Amino acid sequence: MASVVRSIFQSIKEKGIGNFIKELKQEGYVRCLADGNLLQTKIHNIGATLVGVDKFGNKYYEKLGDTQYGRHRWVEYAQKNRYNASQVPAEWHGWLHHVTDHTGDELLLLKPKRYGLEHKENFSGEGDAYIYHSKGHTLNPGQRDWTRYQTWQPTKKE
Amino acid sequence: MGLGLLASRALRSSRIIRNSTRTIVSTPELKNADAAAAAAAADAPSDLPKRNPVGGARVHIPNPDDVIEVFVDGYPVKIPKGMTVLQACEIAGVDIPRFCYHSRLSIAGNCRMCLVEVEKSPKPVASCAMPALPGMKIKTDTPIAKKAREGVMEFLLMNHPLDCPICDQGGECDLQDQSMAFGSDRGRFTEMKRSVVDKNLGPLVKTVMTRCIQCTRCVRFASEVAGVEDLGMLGRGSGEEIGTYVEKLMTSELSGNVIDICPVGALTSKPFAFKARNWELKGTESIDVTDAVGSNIRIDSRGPEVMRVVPRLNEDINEEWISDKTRFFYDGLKRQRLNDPMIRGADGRFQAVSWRDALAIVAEVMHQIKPEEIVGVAGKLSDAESMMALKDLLNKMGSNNIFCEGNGMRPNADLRSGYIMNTSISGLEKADAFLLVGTQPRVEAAMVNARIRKTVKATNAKVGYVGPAADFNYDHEHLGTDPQTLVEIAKGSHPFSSALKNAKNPVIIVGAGVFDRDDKDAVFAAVDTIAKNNNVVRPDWNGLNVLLLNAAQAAALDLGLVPESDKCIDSAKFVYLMGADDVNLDKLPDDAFVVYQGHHGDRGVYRANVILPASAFTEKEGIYENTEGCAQITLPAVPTVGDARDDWKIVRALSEVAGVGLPYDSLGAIRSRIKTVAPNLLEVDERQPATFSTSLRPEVSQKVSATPFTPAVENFYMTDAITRASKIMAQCSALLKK
Repeated sequence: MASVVRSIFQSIKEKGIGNFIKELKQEGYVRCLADGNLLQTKIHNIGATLVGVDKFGNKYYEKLGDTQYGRHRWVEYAQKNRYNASQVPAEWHGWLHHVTDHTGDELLLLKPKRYGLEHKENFSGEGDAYIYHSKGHTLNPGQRDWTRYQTWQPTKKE
Repeated sequence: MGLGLLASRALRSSRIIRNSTRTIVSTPELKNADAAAAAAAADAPSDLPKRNPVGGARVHIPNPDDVIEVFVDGYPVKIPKGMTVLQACEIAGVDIPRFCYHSRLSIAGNCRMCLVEVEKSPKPVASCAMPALPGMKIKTDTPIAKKAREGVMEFLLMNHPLDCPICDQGGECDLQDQSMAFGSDRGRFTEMKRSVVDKNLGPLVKTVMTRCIQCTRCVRFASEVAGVEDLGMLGRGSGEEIGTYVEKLMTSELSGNVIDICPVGALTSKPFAFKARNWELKGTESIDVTDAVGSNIRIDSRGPEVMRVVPRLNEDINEEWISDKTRFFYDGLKRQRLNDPMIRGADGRFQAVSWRDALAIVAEVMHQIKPEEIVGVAGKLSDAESMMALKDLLNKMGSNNIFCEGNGMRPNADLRSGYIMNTSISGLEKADAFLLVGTQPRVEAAMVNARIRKTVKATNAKVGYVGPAADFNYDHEHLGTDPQTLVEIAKGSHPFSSALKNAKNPVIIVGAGVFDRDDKDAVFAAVDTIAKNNNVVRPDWNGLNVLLLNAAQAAALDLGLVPESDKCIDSAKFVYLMGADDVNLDKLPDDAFVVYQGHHGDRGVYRANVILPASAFTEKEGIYENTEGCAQITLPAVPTVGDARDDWKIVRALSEVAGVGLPYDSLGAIRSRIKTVAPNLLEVDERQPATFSTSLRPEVSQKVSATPFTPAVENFYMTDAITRASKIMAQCSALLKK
């Protein structure tokens, strides 16, 4: 605990009080006063190793030794207010759920360049939900044209 | 679990054990065929049920003395001498499996599928090549015959790829059907299959030569019916393949028929490839309108689109063949379609309007114009009903200037024998001398040409031709290019006149291109003189023919679509084009109002002020009369496109808006109106011969000119609005036209 307090004072000295408070906000320390989940994660983070950060800014931690097995890998989401599990991209999913010991950064190298899709979180309930429409559906922007004939176009004039 | 169930399980498991020792031959009792044959012969059936010939065919016995009796499976049949064993079996109602045999081609006897057992013959015989002899005892259902078929089928399937799921013939394949019926239920073949390089036969016929079973039907068709020596057999044994020797396209106007006669999927339709499976298609029995022959076709459609066109059997008209134009023009039905009524605005652009507005404008303009300045032109593809309605409408408006394009401006509709094929198409087979005047049947009417070729091949009939240099696929004499030659023949000073004189059944065919000539009366007079001098028209034989070009021509003349003045276009102020695209409008005054009613945006629309969209022949019911005077009906296969309507309905609606309502509201009513004008048009599918011969024609003082005859059809593949819109036809004319 003493080391934590010492590091806080050190960073105030480096960045100045204003920047320190801004950073405190960004890192979610202010938010965690209202959000117990985030507070728990923050407390968990103390003494854990940061394994990697994905391109969204989610931080992946691991703590071996005194943690209960199966709870030794976790993520701190980049978004501090509206976070959910679908924000974890595919390459980190395996590491996070103990499917593999390869970290997301290693697996990212295997991602096919040509057709590998960008990760998209689940927007359900966010107003941008993905709803499937079949090819002939009116709401499908690429609705198939069922006209089986071409019309004569009166372009040529005599 | 009850006791009974236990017992049945025990029984079933014992059966499985027994089955595990099955031999590879699916019918083990056939292994000793002799014993089985003896057993079959012992219990010959005594009273047999009556059997009918395959397909309900009737047996024609030309000479009652030459009748022999054979026994098919113990059932006695009387057949004329010279028939083969296979034909005898067909008359007895037994369908023999076959691949190479085709009733309209020569006999090859190389597929061996038609093997049957004949008593006292040491081996099974190929029934298609074996003439039936008196008292022959043919057995088609014995173990020997079955085993022979199974063996032949096994050999055929040895090198046949197993690609039925991706084969276009799948579902209508003779090999598929017959291997289900006669083949073994398992194969013993474990080696590699042979493969053959595909040949390029042009834009119409797709080849997958690995599927070929070397039946040689296509080779025989090409050389015997189509008259092109393009295809042949190369190699020996398993290296045998069908090919063109050198890379060469098949340049026949009948090449599409090899698709039908191919018993497997080796030759399939290229435009139809992978478009649909045949069991998805709805067949509609209809009539072809791309030429004046009126070939009987089946329009295969899926939903709103025509997927393909295949021939229907009609011995009197097209036998079982159709020309490539008939078979492949169908993609033109989906392109360049008119689907909305349109009015040309002040800026010269067309604007889509409602039917109400379009008809109101046409009716208004029609009333402002003097009756004699109204002209109606029926197009090449018009049916009799719409021509009747248009003529009635114009007559009610006070005009009598209506004609059908292709008939010329001075058509003579007085004598029906003066514009139809009096010999009839099938009657041409009896002819032994032909005189073709200004007609090139190969491009004008391919099916008539096939009939002439058949006759020439069979009877060595002489063919004389007067007209521009043309391509024939049979021996002919080019007598001259201008009508003066006709005068010489009429006088008897020409060498060909002796050939006509000596002929028993001479035939003269005048092309409809003559209708457009200024000296047409003189040409017909010369032809009449030739006919009179050479006994062409007799009570038992009428050899004087006119070969028409378009489907609408005969019906138009029957209905009396004859213009009052031959200069009516020059002074017209209102022209009603009913699908007429090829009528010459150069002399039309610039202020004339042109209504175009039709289904394709073709030549006619560019001069039009109002466009009324009509339905194509695949979308409506209509009567068409072919060149031999046989009326036939088309049936709607697919729905009309967009806002289009049937031709006669548009004319009827226009008459209502114009205040001169026509007295018919239904197809039945308009047909009863036709009955009062030309009753022969209602005798559907029955050829109505002309009553009076052309000898009643009045004398003409006109002299024939020295202008040479001109070809009536420049491009066989593109003759009307539909074929000109077709991409396949455009490809054909680019690649195949010489």
